[in-house]
Amino acid sequence: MTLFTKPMKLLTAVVITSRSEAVAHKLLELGLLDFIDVKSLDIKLPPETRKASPAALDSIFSAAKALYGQAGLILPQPRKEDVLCMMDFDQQKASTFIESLGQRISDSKASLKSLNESLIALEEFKDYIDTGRLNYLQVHIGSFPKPVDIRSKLGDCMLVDIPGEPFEIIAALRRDGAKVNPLLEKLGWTETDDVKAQKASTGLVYDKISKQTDDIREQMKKLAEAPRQIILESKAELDGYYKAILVARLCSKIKDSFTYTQNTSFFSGWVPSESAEILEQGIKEASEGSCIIEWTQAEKVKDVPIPVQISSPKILSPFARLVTNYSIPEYKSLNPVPVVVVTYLCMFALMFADLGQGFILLLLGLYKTWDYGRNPLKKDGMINRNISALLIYLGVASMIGGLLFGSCFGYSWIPALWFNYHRVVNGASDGLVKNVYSILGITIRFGVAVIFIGLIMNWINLYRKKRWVDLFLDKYGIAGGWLFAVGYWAASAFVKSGYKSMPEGMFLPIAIVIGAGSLLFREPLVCILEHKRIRLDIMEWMVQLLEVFSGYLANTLSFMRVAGLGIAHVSLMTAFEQMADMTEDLAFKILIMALGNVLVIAIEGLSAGIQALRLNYYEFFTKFFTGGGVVYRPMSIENN
Amino acid sequence: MKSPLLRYGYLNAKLRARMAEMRDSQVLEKAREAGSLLEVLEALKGTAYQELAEIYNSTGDLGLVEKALLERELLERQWVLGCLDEKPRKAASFLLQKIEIDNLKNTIRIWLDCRFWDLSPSNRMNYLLKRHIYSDVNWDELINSTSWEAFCKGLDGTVYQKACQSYSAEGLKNDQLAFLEMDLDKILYSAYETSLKELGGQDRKVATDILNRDIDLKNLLILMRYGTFYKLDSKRISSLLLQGGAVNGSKALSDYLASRDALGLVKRFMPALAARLDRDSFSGNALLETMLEIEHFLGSERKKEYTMVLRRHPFTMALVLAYFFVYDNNDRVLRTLLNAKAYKMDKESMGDFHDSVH
Repeated sequence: MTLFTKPMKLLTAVVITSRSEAVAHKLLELGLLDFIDVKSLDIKLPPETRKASPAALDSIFSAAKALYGQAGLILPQPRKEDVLCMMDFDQQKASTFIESLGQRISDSKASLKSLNESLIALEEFKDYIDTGRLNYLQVHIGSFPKPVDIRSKLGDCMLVDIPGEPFEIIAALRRDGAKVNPLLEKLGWTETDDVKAQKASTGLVYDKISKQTDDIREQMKKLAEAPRQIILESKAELDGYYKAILVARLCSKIKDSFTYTQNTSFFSGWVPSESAEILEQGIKEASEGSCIIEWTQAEKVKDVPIPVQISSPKILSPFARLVTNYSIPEYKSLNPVPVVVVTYLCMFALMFADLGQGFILLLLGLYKTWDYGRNPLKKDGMINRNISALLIYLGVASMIGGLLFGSCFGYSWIPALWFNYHRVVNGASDGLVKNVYSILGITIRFGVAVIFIGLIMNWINLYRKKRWVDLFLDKYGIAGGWLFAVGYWAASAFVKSGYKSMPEGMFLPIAIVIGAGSLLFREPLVCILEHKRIRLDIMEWMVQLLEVFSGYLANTLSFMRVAGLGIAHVSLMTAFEQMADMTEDLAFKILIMALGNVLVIAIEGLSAGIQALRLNYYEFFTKFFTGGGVVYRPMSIENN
Repeated sequence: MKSPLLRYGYLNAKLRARMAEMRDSQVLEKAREAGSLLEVLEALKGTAYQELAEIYNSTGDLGLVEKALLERELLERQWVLGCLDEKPRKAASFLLQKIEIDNLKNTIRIWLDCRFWDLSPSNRMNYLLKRHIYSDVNWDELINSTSWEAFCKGLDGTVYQKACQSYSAEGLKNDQLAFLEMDLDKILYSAYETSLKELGGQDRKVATDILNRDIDLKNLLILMRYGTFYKLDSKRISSLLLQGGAVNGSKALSDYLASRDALGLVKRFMPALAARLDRDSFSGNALLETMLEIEHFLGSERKKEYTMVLRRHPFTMALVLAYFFVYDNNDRVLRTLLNAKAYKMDKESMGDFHDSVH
């Protein structure tokens, strides 16, 4: 895990075009370079340029992907070490192979269609018999003077039954009579006068149809599986071709980022400084030394966005997702993920503290993660993959909260390690925590701590970016932090005095004047540093001061929602407990508490999750998070 | 009385969300880019059309896929109608009647095919909708009828019977089918016009404007197709035109019927298109291309009209009409794409998908 975004270097390279294919494969194998358009750099390019066309590859690629989709199989992923072996890939052969598989599947679909048409025709027939609408049918019982292959003459829409009886039965839809009757006459059909046979004919036809429809359904079921079987039979070969096509397609994309002259190819891109040497070595090796490589430090590149790479362990990916959903941090900033893990879980644990309910969340998270792992192709549901992983953390946090506050499924069954939330909310004191105001006080202090962490992170970021004026004189710089600290000290003293008086003496006014004055001189100082005409905008300063006071106050009080949600959680569970106490029946009591727990887990759990996210985004991130960064996305097998 | 906001607020949110979903899924774009039918089916997975891919995979039958698409259209209309109050519901029920009339036209076509041309087995009838759509048409009776008289009897108690009875099977076999279809369209538009009279305020005005505009576009199409291309006599053409709109009864129409000056008619009612055409566009080999261009133009005009009306009057009947315009258009394009890919047509042969006036 990195504490800050990784330092970057810009590579600009020229290689001999005859080696560009090898270089492209090497770059893909290394998977380190995040390409940029060389035209965006301030360099003169030769006029003649050309680009490779990946259209044909795209077409084979999507055809191959569709084959995997038909078989319900996961797409195979080439390994890094395979990349260089795939340079001699035969595109024509791959295309022919994939086309032939596609054709085999289409043929199986055509057979399926033919069966389905027969099935529909038979079902229509059966439906008319079932519903007594025999007037839509015509059933002939009789014989031909000599054996006739009647099915080939009448087609599938007619039902022909020759079950080794002394007579034959031909059943057809009456609407097809215009076709059937002249044909029967032509072939010398004679109707039997056997009344018994005539009476039995409809039943015989029905039995035959039922058997035929069952047979067809069985055949269709098997045939519907045919595409999967076809793919599975050729899977090894298809995998090989698919991987080769994918590599060729990615190399083609890499070469799209090249700019060509008659004999040379230019390309440029970002790479983390720590990997620069590996990349340089790789390009030299692939181009057999026919290359020129230039490195530029990120700080010296202007007008080209520097991509940001922050790495967090995979286990923290749900939190990394929460951060990237907000925005991508600016280059040279602190990695906020580890801090978010702590703040988010603390907030959730304070709002939703229950050992039993936390355990349910944990089980739900574990089950969903296991289920998604077992079915990688499963579509994300309401609880998606990310939320499933997050639920595991939230479950554990809630369980720890439950242990701290002695809550389990809404009951005070276990001794509290810190204080008993239920007792305090229900009017009794527990040690230092005397009432709900004490809980509000705790969450406000927690909020102050979070805001200060945010401010300190901002100062570290500003220091690293050498933005000195903002570091000292901005509302979220040291001046703003000073005002916030003074404000908190004064407010604490005011509360301690029983909401009667502010701290005495000159320290408070002097401290406010120092903070406010610092903010006032920010603008003139910027003008001096940028050699602009000095201006002192009092109105803007006053608005900013108002913003500082109201903003910090609102940010701090916003943390009272943590107590609010926690109190609501306890109150709801107490209400259900009281409802359960109204009945003597144990089973009913258990049912009420079970329903109460389900309701609280669903509603309160969701609410606590959202509120914790909101506090992070609006009260915490706003202090230090400068978004708008660009993600470092090197062209590699893993990224594509 | 409910305010328009109260009446259409919920539906507005739902339909706009559905339209956004259709747009965002890019299913048609992906299907268009697909190289084969299998790829189109892959593009449908995970979208509102997923069910179609499942039907094809289990039956291999594109006919059933199209039938399922039509069933979806019907269910969607029934759902939207269920969200409307009585009067707007009655007016919007012409959307159901439209499906019923289209189904009836298909039934007649297949019935005639099976009866006279023997081109296809009668089980093609099973791909038609046989459920109750709008009126009590006995679909089983229709598809199983062995004569045109019996066919018409299956339409007992419906407004379509009289129109069908005025044609003979022999006439339809020869060249009358298109005229019967236009008569059925007249029934649809006339019923719609009548139901609009019961609507009040803005609803009535907007829906009538749309109807008149639709009638104009249809009439222009009839004039171009049957007047200029097939050169039918003026009396016959007049009998085909739908009542209402600005075209029917205009002086420009009388001039056209007298002189057959197609360019003059285009200049009067399609000035934006007229700039691209001249007299030669309506003669010789160019005529067919001009006809296609006119149909394309009228289709895009209709699309523009619906987009504009939806923007201007979001809490009126226009919302429902515009939604189904987009919805049906998407289904039509998807149907065409599925068939085009099944018959391995390349992108050039498929051409552009025009916005329909039909």
